[in-house]
Amino acid sequence: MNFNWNIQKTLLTNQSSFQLNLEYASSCQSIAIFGPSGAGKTTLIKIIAGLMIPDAGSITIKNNVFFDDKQKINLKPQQRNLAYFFQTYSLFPHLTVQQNIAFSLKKGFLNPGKHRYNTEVSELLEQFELSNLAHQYPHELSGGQQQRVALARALITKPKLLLLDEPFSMLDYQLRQRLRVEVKYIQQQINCLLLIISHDPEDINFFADDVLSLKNGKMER
Amino acid sequence: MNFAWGALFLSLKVAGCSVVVNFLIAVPIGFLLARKKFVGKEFLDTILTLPMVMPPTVLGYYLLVLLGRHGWVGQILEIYFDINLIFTWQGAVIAATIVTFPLVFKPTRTAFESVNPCYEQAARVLGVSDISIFFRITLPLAWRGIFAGLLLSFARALGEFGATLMVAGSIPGKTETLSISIYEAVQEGNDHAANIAVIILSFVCIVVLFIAKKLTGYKIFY
Repeated sequence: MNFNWNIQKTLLTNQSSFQLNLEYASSCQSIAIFGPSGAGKTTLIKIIAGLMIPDAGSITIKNNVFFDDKQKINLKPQQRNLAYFFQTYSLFPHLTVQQNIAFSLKKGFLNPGKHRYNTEVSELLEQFELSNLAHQYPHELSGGQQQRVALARALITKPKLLLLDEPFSMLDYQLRQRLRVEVKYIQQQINCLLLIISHDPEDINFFADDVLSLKNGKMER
Repeated sequence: MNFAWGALFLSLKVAGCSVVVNFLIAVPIGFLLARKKFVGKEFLDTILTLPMVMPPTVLGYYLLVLLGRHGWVGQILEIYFDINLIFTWQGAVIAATIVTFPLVFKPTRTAFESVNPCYEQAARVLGVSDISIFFRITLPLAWRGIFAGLLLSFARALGEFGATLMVAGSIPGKTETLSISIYEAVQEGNDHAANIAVIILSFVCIVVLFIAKKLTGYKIFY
């Protein structure tokens, strides 16, 4: 099984509570999550990334147990070897485009240097049409440009699992088509699993072998 | 003339030391209050903010009671370490540190709270360790606020009067800081000395506040 989870999570806010109750198993390479706003899509993806802890259940990705409440396993996000493209991009505002993309390549207490070039970073800048923006800061970029930087930053880690939360929503039609091809190409090169959230049926047709439909924290088949 | 420079040097030394002590104590406490959840957190915040609203003489009195010969801290220091802090410049540092503590701790807490956790989450998923994230993401995004707080505390410590006088007294050449020397000069009718000291102190405070404002990029005096 590539994807296998069975999770329960209750989110409490001041006024209401939201229950996520999901069970899924699949040996597909790429799956898409589809559903209206507030259905729990981003919550699910955050739980898989390890940024939220489920109340109970288990998550196994490609025979790798990420979480299991019975066996008391809960891998840190750092140990899960995945990449997460945030809906809000979350680009580091104090780092340039090039430093943002190179962020994960540098270990230790210092950020990558402003003028240090790395072939991997250069290649991605080229592929994502960002070469001339390498030294700009995120706040100087348009929404679509930020989206591409976030995508490049996620892909450079060569993850085993790629989580994409509405990755192409800010791009124009042509760029969207081009980047889909690029992302799929990189996915095949590094041979990783893909989980994508999207409202765009074209994204889903292009990437997904299976589609999960979510509504009010539950699966709809 | 000489004594004005000696007093200025002493003021700078006391203010500088209080900034260092606050950096080591107030900044970590500001971080803890911004990021950790625990019972009594807001109560602790209130207690730590007290020096901002309490008259410095009251703070000085507390310190005197605590650090003096009969105070329990003072007794321990005297008996076990043969240290007496009252009427010393080190005592002035403690007074200045306590008075300026909220000026460092408050902006530090706000600065850490205003760092959106989404950046730290993104960095965790990218495989960077939590301690590295602190130095590569959290601190660079918060440092302006922290630094502005430290500069403000420096300016405030330079002008510290009430608590310092209570704890360290006013011994010329030993504990007479610039702001205390102004008071003494006026008492003695030495207007010339008072004028010089006032001009120096005002100038240093303006420079420090100006730097703080430049660094934060927003107004710090309302």
